[in-house]
Amino acid sequence: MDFSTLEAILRPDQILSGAAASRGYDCDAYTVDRSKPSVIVLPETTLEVAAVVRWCAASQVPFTSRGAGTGLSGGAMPALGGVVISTKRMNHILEIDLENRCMLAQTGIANRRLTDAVKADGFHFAPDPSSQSVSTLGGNIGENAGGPHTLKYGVTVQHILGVTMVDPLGEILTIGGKLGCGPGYDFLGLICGSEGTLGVVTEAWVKLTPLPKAVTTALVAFPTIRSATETVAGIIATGTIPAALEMMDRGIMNAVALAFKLTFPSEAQALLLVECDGDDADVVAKEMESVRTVCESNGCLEIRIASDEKERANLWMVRKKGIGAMGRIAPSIVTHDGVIPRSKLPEMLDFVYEVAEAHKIGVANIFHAGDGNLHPCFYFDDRDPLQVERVIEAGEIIIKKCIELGGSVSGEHGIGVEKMDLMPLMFSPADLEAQAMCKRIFNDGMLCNPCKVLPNQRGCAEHKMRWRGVAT
Amino acid sequence: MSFEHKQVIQFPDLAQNYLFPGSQTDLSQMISNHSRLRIGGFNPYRYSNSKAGANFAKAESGKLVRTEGPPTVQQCDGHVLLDKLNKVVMFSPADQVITVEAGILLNDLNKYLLDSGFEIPIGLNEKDQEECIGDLMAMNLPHWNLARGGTWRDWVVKMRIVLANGEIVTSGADVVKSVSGFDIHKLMIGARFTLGVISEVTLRIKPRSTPKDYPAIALNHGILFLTNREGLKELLEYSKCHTEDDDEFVKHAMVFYIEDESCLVLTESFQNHFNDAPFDSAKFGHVWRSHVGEFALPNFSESDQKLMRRTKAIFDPTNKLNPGEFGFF
Repeated sequence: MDFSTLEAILRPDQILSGAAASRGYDCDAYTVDRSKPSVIVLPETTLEVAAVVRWCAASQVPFTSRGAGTGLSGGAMPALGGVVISTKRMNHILEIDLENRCMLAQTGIANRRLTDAVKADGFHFAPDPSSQSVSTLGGNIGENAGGPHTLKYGVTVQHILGVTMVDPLGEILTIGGKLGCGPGYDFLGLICGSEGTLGVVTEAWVKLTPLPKAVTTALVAFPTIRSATETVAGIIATGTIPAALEMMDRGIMNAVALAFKLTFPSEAQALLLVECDGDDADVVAKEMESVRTVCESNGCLEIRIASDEKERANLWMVRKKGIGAMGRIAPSIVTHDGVIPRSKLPEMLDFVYEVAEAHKIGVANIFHAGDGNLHPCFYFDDRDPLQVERVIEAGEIIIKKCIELGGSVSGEHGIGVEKMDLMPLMFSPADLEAQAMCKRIFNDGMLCNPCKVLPNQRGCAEHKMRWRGVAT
Repeated sequence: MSFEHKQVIQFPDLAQNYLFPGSQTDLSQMISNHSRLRIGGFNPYRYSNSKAGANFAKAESGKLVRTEGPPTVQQCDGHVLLDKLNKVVMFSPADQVITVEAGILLNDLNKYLLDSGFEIPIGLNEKDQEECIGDLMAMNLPHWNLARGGTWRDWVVKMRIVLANGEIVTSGADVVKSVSGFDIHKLMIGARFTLGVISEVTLRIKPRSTPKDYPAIALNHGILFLTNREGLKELLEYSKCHTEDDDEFVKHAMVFYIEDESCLVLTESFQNHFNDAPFDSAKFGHVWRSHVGEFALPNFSESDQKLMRRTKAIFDPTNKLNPGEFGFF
């Protein structure tokens, strides 16, 4: 394929190729599977994206869109090579309308920048994945990203009013808009969470949510994992829905203690980070009081409540820097993602530790307990193929258990290539065929982010071994 | 647990062969065995050709029924109503979810949740609370709590759907958060049963909040929309001119909810009472809000039309489900 003809569409500085560039784009943050693109393009406008996609369609070259590459399931890995369409230069805010509480931005902008742009005016973009300082709006839409505050504020789809996207043939579509969607089929709901398989979303109208006037944050230490997990269900059962309800286990405590010199009660085995917020300080205080009562009735060891913004940031450090701190413990980490009904948390956590022990791998847990969204972090050495194999097997066993307990294969990381083969555990062939029908609305062919989400796609099986480096 | 089956006669001018599936398998068979089916109950928000005047009258039951104007849907071999599919399948307060069959009335569901202190925050008026949730989801009606409570899409986490070929499929999971492939259930909300029939849903539920008082306003034509503040000011002016001398008008007043003046949601509509020019809401960048009136394909943008046609052709290639709806004849 002659990729030089792309130069008729883009400037030379918008086209990257060669071994070094390809290696930089052969995977996202899910590093187990890799595939090199032939070319990486850096469009700056929707029209340029459309022109590239039309070129790909005419040349029958596969293409994969990519934001910051922070995805954790391989959704931005160019499975069949071809062109990676990077949105990193599409990072502008195009319009802010505070009066109507919305903002139009290109999708290559980092999530955090959306909030930074309106924070002084008392607003924020509510979805806050842990990667928000780098992960892009487009990536958040593709994965329907959540974050610690999902429990109260919902996931990305609830904060998107409309999108401009380029479909797999290069046609520009506008779905919804500044005032949301009108009647008709809810394509916006379908696009959010479709992992870039239905087209390339280039611009989005997002909702701006007022910042809460009152916020109270507590870090609560528990003597056992079980007492912490039972507290989670207990808090929700009282009718209090905190803004965030996060859990960290001893493994994370050890890592952050080492990295940031933080201290915790020596007998603590689990921490809950609980945040209540709202416009009425009295109501927020009552909610935190209710949380305190449930924590105490479950035998908590200590409750630290932040008295100011600085202390609040310190309490959040355990949660926000937890995974990063794990880097001090082992050379490689794989963070898994599964969801269960939160009442099953005690049973599920016991199971996670059993599986890790049986597979002789280390595990630490840091997760969105309020949503029942687990993130077991296996730490290991990926230079040892046997360890890699055990990590993959343990991860699959855990996801199977999530499904067995009535949960889901993924809470927020998506299916990508990582979990395609687990989809039949959750869905029947008829369910999956209906999902394929959804995909066909936008995408009849196999060019737009191929071999993702749905298992057993034509032409993908032979590539799987190559992704994992088994075949050459 | 299941609730009393409240059979109602609806759309007297359309299909007479009413079908009441007692199970999802029944529903599947009914869909398999018919070639054209009207699905779902009466919805007062479909005002047909409003410029021609009233299309509805009150039946003895007190419900509005169509009296004139072009029928929205074509003649069918049967009319499926979900009323008997009204069981609570699973309720887990600790997990904040409830699974119910689609024929359960919203009112019954909220009463069921009352004791445990939870609710579905879809703020429909009293009349619409008496509709079953499958119908309400299929129409995706706007409501007074939209700004805070969102739409059905925000609360449905799992759905069972009977497709046009009779196949029963599942989308989503019984958890409050899941990214597991393409969310077919989102596509079904607001699709007016033209792509499949919602038979069972799992809903995220929220702790019951204290009801508030909301302002009300009346308008004289049956439209619902969201607008911005400029539109709101104009709308308020416009409505003042038309609300003084028409009791019926006030009685059927639209209700709207403003959250910090940022968003206007009109939540009740009715047919024309005047021959005046309608409020020029388009001037203020409104969008038609959620399934009111007879929106046929020409009302949509070209790209929306194309996507809708493609979707219908994939999910219901023989136009079996609610033929005529959205203009799919």
